[in-house]
Amino acid sequence: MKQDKNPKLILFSILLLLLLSYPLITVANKAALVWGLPALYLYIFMVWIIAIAVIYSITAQQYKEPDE
Amino acid sequence: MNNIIAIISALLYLALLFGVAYYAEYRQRKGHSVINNGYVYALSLAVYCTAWTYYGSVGRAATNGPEFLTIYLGPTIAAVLFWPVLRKIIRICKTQRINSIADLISTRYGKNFSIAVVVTILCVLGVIPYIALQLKAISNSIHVLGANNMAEVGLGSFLQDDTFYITAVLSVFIILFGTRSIDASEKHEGLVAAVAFESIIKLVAFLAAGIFVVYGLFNGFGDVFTKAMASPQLKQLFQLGNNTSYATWLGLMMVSMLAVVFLPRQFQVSVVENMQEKHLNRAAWLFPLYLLLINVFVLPIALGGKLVFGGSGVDADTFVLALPLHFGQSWLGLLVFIGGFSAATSMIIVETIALSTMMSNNILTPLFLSAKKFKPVADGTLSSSILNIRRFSIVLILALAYVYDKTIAQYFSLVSIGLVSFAAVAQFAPAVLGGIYWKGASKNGAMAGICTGFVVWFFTLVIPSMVSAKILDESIMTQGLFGIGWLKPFSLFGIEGMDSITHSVFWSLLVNITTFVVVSLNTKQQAQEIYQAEIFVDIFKHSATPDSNTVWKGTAYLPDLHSLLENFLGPQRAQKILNNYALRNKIPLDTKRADPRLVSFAEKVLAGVIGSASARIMVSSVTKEEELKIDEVINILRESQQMMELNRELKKKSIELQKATQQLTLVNEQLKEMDSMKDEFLYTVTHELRTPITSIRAMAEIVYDNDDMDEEQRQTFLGNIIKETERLSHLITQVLNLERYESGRQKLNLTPVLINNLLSEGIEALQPLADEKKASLELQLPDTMFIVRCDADLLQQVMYNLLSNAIKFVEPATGLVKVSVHTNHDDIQIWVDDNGRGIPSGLNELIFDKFFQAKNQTLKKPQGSGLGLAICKKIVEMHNGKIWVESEEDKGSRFIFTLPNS
Amino acid sequence: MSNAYKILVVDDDPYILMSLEFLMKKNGYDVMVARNGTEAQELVEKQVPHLVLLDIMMPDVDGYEICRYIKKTPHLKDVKVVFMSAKTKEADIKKGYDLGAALYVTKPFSTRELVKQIKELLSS
Repeated sequence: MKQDKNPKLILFSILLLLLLSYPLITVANKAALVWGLPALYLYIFMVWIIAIAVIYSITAQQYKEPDE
Repeated sequence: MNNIIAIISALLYLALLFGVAYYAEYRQRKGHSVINNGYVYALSLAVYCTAWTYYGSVGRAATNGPEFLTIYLGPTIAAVLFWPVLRKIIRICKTQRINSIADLISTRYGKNFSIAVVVTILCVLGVIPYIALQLKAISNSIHVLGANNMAEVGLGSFLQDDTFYITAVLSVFIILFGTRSIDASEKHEGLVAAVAFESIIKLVAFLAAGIFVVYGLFNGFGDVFTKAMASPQLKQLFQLGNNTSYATWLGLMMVSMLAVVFLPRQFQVSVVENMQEKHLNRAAWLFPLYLLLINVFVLPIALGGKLVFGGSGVDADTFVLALPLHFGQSWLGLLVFIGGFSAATSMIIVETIALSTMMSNNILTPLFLSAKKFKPVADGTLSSSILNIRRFSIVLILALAYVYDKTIAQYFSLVSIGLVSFAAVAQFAPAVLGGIYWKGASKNGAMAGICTGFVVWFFTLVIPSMVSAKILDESIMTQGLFGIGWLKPFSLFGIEGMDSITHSVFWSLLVNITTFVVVSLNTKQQAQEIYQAEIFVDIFKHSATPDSNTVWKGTAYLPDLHSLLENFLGPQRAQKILNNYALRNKIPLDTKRADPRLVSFAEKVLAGVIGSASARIMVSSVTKEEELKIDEVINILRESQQMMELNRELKKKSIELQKATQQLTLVNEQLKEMDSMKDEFLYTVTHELRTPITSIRAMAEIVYDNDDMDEEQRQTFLGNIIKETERLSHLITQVLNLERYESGRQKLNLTPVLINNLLSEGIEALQPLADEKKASLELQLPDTMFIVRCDADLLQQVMYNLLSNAIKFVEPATGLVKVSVHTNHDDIQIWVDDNGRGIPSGLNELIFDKFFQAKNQTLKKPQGSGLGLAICKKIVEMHNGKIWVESEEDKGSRFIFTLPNS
Repeated sequence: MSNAYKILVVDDDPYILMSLEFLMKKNGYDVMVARNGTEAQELVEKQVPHLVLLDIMMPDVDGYEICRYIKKTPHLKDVKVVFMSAKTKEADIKKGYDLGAALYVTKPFSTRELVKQIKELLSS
């Protein structure tokens, strides 16, 4: 059947925005090193890398084009 | 190292860019586009990373810590939405031949002229400082490289100014590759290739600088961070500092998210230059990856710079370049300089193209045409005039940027100027996004929203910058406009606590959206707007049936239309385009009156050249258009709606039909296959029956016909007849058994069975057969008793078949058949070993097929129905077990079957 | 001996072999038997029988192969071949005749009929 990646992408964009804003970001917002790296940077770059992987996994799939 | 080397390198680099662009266009002419792929597309989007990224991020990180990341996190979130949102914009622009963001907005709102002008002005005002910023970065970097003090270069002395020459060369480059074709909606392959190339250069150079700082000057990331951690001041850069509230963080992220789509240069590369929609899929993850890579070293470089230079007054904006130079790495310094130069030039090139298209289409060309009192004359001069106007726009824009750079830009850091542009283009978001998702969005709403947003932006960001530049008096900042306290540019309505950018974006977008929605809800759309709204919002329906409907009504004469096109496209191209369209849509071209579809088409073609608003005016100047009534538009839309539904219905039906046919064919084939398998089986069965019947009949006839044969002989024949009859009935039983197992009619009679007993019974039953052949039968049982739930009768059959087979295949006297039990965690294995002649490799699986022997003559006989192993396999499988054989030729075979351990 | 024709009977089924041997002897022929293709080939080569009663499906060399060998070997080409087979498909029978068989009987067959047909074949 027709599969549409748009809902997945839209949901993921909202999730990503949440992960990168207040209040979730406060988890890492301190002047401390974790594994030798600043906590906030570590958090942001991890989210970033995961986001790229997720976008890849969604967009790389072959979906039918939702051309109504 | 001095200025001269820097300038020469920069010029050599520009020469290289010319080469890249020429090569790309050469390949395009040969039909082998180098840019028609997702990688180049993603790289071209990286024009987002300008000198601001290259130099400014480090500067920003050195004061505000992680805040600079928002500028790249926003676009990453936007990239997630490339496929859902940007794809729709691309589809609209392709079908409507839209070539700029101003064109997009004006086309959506009834091809309105004034809205295009407003958008263009806002773009020019918002973005020219941003171009100036790039020029500033280039000159700064030249000075750093030349170790000069930042000498103030006044406007009067521009002839000694390196930036001037570089700007001039750039304008030549842009004119050469940007105004090749009169149709601005055509692709600029050379430019895109050059920009993608520049994206590679700047990334490589920046990474090289980063690696030098982190691994050359320090011992890796950990070292940089640990040293910075020791400084109470630098430690603060690890978290959101005092300058960055969570509101600012979110605000910057949102505004960058919008900027990555609505900045004129981003719109140019992502929409206008897009070759195929599917490239978005690759860009959606590759572009964020690019952004991530170019940001990895920003903070370490900032910290490194701070640690190295301390308070010695080196501008953090120049750390990337200053660090390698400070440690004597001139070549790395040169590479970094070229990287920064490429970041700046790529931005200048694309931004200038985008702005010049808007400026010439929406402002200069209309002025020119109205001044000339346009009359259709097919001399072809018009097309070159328009190209010249576009060239002039390019020079004008670069000149404005140059002047801005020399007069005002010096008062600001790199990032702040960029963010002002971001805030400006964010004003287009409501009109564009509202326009493509909300049919109710009206021209008046869009116009009001953009204008009010524009005013707020101007007041909250531009006015303060003019104050800083001492153009305006400072009192407006402290006392408010006209002395009104709640009209202070940095704290409207007395709300404080946001930085100036967030403050501006918040208020301008709030006012913009509110006005846009309220006015849209309260104004009536015109016929043209209703039609465009329908096309835009439901573009995926409409682009499936292009040209199918038009909303043009009136009288037009073909020769007029023809000469209009000739004016802009030249006689040959105009003729070709018209002919093709007419042919495709079966419109006669020999009439005097022009078909309404041709009029619409001509307008679209012209829109690609001069923008939709101008095109509309041009077309109406040679035709007599009647005002469409709203209900006519609605009728047209309804008709096309019905057409589309009919089409869709037909398509669905035919797909269903196709599917049904495929299924039928499949079922038919399966039936045929089953049928032939059944035939095959029957044939083999009857074949197997024929042999014993033949011998029985022969022997019976002999006994019957020969009364005179001696008694002994007669006994032999009769005995053989009995044996053959037994064989026959055995065969029949087996066939019936197998058939019963295969059809699933055989129900398992599961009871707990002591495997040890089952095996001993099996051995016992076959002992006589073994004795007859003088072969030995052995049973090796472990001490444990195994109990398995199974059907004892059926398993007895398996044992019987396996054992009798084994006995048949061993040599008399020396033959040995051994049964043993093995167990592991999951199942019990029963092994039947023999020392017979073994099974030729390759046949290990085939021997479990029905009548395998019969079909393979080399194995035919000794005796047996040819069904034994097939039956064994079926029974074992019914018990959820497996059966297989391990065998070596001439060494014997080991048949193994498993039963699940219960 | 009026009927001194030499007949070779080839079949891997012992009972069929035994029955046919008995019958042919009874009708006065000089009978040889072979239980498989290899034996059969040797005997044909050495003894050059007048007629071969030939089964097709055998463990080593199949009957078609033997027939083909007989027909292409100059000093054997007058040997008459009678196939007896459980293969009843049109195509198999045709293949038998194409290879030069004088007769193709499908199993199960009537021994009385078979004897009659052999007689006719040998006297023609």
